[in-house]
Amino acid sequence: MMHGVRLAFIAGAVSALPLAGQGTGGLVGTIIDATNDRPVRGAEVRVDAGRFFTTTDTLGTYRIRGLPGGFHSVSINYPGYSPARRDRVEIRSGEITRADARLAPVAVQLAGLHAVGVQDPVLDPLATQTEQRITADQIRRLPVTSLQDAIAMQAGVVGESYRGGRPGQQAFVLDGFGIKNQLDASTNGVAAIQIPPDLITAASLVTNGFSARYGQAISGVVDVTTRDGGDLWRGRVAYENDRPLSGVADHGIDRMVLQADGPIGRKLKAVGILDLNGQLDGDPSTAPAPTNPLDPRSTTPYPLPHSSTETWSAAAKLTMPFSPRIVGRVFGLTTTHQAYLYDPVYKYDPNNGPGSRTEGKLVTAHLQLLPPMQTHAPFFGDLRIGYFDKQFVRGSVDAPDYKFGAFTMKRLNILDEEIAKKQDTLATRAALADFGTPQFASHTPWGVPAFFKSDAGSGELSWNEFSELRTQVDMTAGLGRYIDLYFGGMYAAQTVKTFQRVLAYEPVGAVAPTGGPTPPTTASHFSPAISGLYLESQARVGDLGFTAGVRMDGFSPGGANVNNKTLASHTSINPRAAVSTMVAGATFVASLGKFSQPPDLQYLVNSAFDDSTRTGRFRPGNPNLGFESAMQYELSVRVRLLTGNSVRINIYDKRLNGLVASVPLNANPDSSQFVNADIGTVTGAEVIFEQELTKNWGVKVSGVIQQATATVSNAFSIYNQTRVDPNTHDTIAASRFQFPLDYDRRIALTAVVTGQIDRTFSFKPLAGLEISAVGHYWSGLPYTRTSLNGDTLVGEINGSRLPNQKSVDMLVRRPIRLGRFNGGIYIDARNVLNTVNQTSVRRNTGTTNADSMTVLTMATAAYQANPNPIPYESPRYRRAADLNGDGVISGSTELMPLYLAAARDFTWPLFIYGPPRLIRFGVELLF
Amino acid sequence: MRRRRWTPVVIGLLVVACGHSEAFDSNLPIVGPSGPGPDVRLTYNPDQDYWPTFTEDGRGILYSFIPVGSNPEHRCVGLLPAAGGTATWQLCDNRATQSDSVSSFPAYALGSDGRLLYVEATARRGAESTTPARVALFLADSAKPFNRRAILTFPTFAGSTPIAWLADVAWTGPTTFIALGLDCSASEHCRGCSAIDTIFYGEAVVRGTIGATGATLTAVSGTAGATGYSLAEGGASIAFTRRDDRSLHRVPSAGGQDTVIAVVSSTSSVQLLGVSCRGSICIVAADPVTLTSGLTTPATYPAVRSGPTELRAVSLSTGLVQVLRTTAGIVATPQISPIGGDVVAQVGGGFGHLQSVTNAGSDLHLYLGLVP
Repeated sequence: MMHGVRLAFIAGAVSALPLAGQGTGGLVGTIIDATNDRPVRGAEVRVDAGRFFTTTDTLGTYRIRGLPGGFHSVSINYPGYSPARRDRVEIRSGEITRADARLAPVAVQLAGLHAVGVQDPVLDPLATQTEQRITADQIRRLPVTSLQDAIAMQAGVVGESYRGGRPGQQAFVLDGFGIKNQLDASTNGVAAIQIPPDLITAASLVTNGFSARYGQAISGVVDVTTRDGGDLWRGRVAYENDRPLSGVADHGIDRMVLQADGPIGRKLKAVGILDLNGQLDGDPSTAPAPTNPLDPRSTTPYPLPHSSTETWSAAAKLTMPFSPRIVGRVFGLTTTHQAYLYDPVYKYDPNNGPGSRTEGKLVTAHLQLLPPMQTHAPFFGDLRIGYFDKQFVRGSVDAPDYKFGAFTMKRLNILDEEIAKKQDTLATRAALADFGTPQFASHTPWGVPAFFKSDAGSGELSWNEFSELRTQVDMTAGLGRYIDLYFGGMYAAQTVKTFQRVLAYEPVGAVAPTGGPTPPTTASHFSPAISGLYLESQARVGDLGFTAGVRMDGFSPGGANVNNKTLASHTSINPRAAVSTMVAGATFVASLGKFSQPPDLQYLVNSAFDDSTRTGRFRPGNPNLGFESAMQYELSVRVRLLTGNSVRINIYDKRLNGLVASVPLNANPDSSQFVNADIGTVTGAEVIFEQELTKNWGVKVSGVIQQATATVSNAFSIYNQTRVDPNTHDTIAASRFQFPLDYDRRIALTAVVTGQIDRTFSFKPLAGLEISAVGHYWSGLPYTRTSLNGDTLVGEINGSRLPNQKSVDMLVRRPIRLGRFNGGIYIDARNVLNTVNQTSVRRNTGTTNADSMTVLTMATAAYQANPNPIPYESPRYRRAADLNGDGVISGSTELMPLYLAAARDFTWPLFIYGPPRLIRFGVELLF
Repeated sequence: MRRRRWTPVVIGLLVVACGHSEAFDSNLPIVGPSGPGPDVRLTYNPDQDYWPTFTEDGRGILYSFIPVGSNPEHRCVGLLPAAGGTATWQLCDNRATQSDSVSSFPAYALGSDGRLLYVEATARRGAESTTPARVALFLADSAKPFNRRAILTFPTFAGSTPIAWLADVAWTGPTTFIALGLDCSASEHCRGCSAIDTIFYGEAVVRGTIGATGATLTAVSGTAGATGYSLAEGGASIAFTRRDDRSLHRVPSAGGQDTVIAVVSSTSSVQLLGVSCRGSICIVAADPVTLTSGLTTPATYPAVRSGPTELRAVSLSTGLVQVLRTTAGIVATPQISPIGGDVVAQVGGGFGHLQSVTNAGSDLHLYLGLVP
């Protein structure tokens, strides 16, 4: 057993490669004399005919670091023994591949290189981070159409929340290059680019103990490795849709993928991909059909009207070897996602609803220095330079002109987008001429002037751009056989531009329809910078493995005149350490580390809203916000119970500090100020059982139990710091009250089953059939009850919980052959059981539907605002409501039923429910 | 064999990939004419509906109306189907940028190609009863009526004739139109009266030409003092009425000496409140109205007297006058459909182009096949 432990540690010393995605992997192995089972010392191990070379130690082990991802030939020679050789040994980026050999004397029959495989990730003791990985093959086998789908299968994930953190507390690493939407990740996603799944080699979610190399995250790192071009041209063409279905089952889905990769000339290798995704029912919901037969959704609850999405992603990558040790890569990815958004206010106006467009562009250049040949102390690394740009615009749009499904083949025309880009706050104080004034819609089933608008958009115009030029250097130095040193740094020069104008059909200061003045136009243009330096080492001492590192992060808001305030730069020192060992066949890892990230830049600048008075119309920014941070402690145990299966148990405690919170200074909601105020604790345990593919079938089951709580300075006067009341001068003690965080999912269970019916199965249509299913069960998220009008909390913060949720997704694929091509047809079904999941709630009632009192209050207020009779010739006239047949609908007796029906329609729950069953039929050709 | 077996499946998948289900049909109820019979009440607005006119193609009826509950807010233009039913379009200047003003539309013409010609009069909110701050003639596309071009502002002159107001505008060609030129004033018509109505004074029938720089007006000679008009005899002549004059007059279309076609009513207390002709038949509104002095001289303010309110037919060729309909209230501004014998008229409320009134409801009625 000790022998095995040592071997594992030797292998682990190589696994000090921090995370995947760097384009290199490692090779380890043990050379044994087949005649006596003793280790062979001094055997020569050559990769690619000696391009990489090493010798075995006294334990017969060897390791080679920094091998480029791809296929290599491995040969092992020892004088007097028959050599062992194997071609096409795959080295995966960021992984350790094991190649053991039993050599025999020349006189003895050749034993050969008998085992080649990926280093056991379960027992690898120096894999200190908590990493969950999904490979390209798994992505292809599972009901996954996006990277988000793949990550969502991992334990501890709730949408973009990892381990109880809010969205935006994670970083995104693409081929080792850090990307983050630092502007508004907490509200608009961590990155504006969408990586086509066909481009992915592997994707990992690392939720703790991640290397000091990575900053800008306190909850986790999503690490993606993309493929390099191969030696032969190959590719995939796929098309999927739900057109064979009809009625409520047809959500207008079309997706097309074209991917190809191969060599260009003798040295260049290229990858290109185009991924187009359109959906007419862009945000489908299992909301029940309205009960009023006059509501057009009563017979066709979905697709929702005018709620489409369209996403175009294109990527290309070139790989160029400059010398045996230097490889260059150029990568480009662009994503345009545009949506015609369903707004209940515009339910009956297909031409004036809001729309949005997000465009992301990423261009990176990667210069990779590979390790030298024949050394036990290699030195290698990466230089990366990249430009990331994200633009977002939202406002009134011309109704999309669909060409095919949800595809318009052109950019949505968002009203006065060019004016927004000019950021002219003075010129936009006046009403914008292109914006009409929305009127109460007349062409509703109810006719009455209430709730529903038409004729013009809401007057919203919001635009922002975030761009970043980032330079990143990552180096690895081997200090002897058992110590590796990692060091490097990054610097990112960022540019932020924002513009917000609401109620643009009104001049600034005019009385807005919802009361209060029309807020001023807000705009900002500033240039923050972030930087980072890190030093980390992994070492083996006896039976123990140590990882220790420190990272220093810097953040400067940039620009001395942001909001006319004096700004300060901020630094954060983040030490991280882990110790690991193997005991009784199990790997134990204890880690602790401090992680920090700059705040969302959106909170540094002013913004304007057209919102309820409860949250204000104008939000002043605070450019002096500093780092948000988390101190994390974790104990992990990983063990194999039987061959092919494993159990991982992670117990963690995460202390959050300095999270950005909105704190009111007085009763006026517009006075809220952003500060680094929130603190919190996330405590949890994850249990992950995995049965690897055996006889074509495999299963992974993960369960998470956690509790995420916080104490916060918030709008409801719960302070985390002792303070002096400015009026009474009394000392107010800090509150010890802790409440659940918004993403406090207490229990989460995920089961993934995948398999394939044997190709020799007697019933031919089923032979070779690939089947996979993913099941989820989640306990409900917390929410806070409010009073009926929503301006007062009822009960404890996040003291109520939504119902539990569950879903089952499936993918069934039948390989086929069409002429000279391999391919397949498949059915991808999400929420197969069409489970109605409640994802939110009306916070003032705790129900999905508005209660009768709410409806009556709304209807009465609307009637009192417009009690006028409706004559026969009016588009608002509804014959059935004209009870006395006098040609005029008048008085409360005739009008109030219409107002009540309109109120019920307007409050009918839609996005309170999750998506329904979505079925796609696909066909693919591989070439 | 395997290829043959699976190919149809794939092809089938592609074949069905021809279209998605239709999304969301609002399926709104459609309301048609309010009733059968020769006389159809078109509007039930408790406030005023007035000054109806057919669109150039005869498929719709444009009219002014005061939205209920809007007093003293905007007056708007609506478009009804020619047979009646739910209004299909309306023009109301309730843009947020105009929130400090109220507006009305005294003249409007909708071409069969969507060309919209209209006069908008605006007044500062709170000063509605004084002379409008701005009166202008606009040319626009009816689909976007406020993406418009101001082609004439008032007051102006048609030759030497001062024109402050237009009514009954109608297209006569792609760039030409005809209208009733008026002057107007707003004042109390009796000492201490709360109601302040707008009095119109007929100036002349005018012809307009739209050019690159705007529109120009030319008064049709012989039509001085006209308070109602209609092209007649296939456009060869113009029939018109005058204030306090019970005769129907005619001039050649190009202008000239006016002649009396007929005395429409022999009763002295009758005012003619509108005329519309088709071929050699004209429909004239004859109402028991006299003019009183109020605070001005001469007497200008209409007052309703006892007697029948009638739509009378006048033959341009014989001068014969015939009562066609007796209505239940003041009838004014009749208009004959350009594609049939239907006649729309305002019943109740104001006095055609003599005076607008407040606090008096009026509706539109359609008289089917009234003109042979």
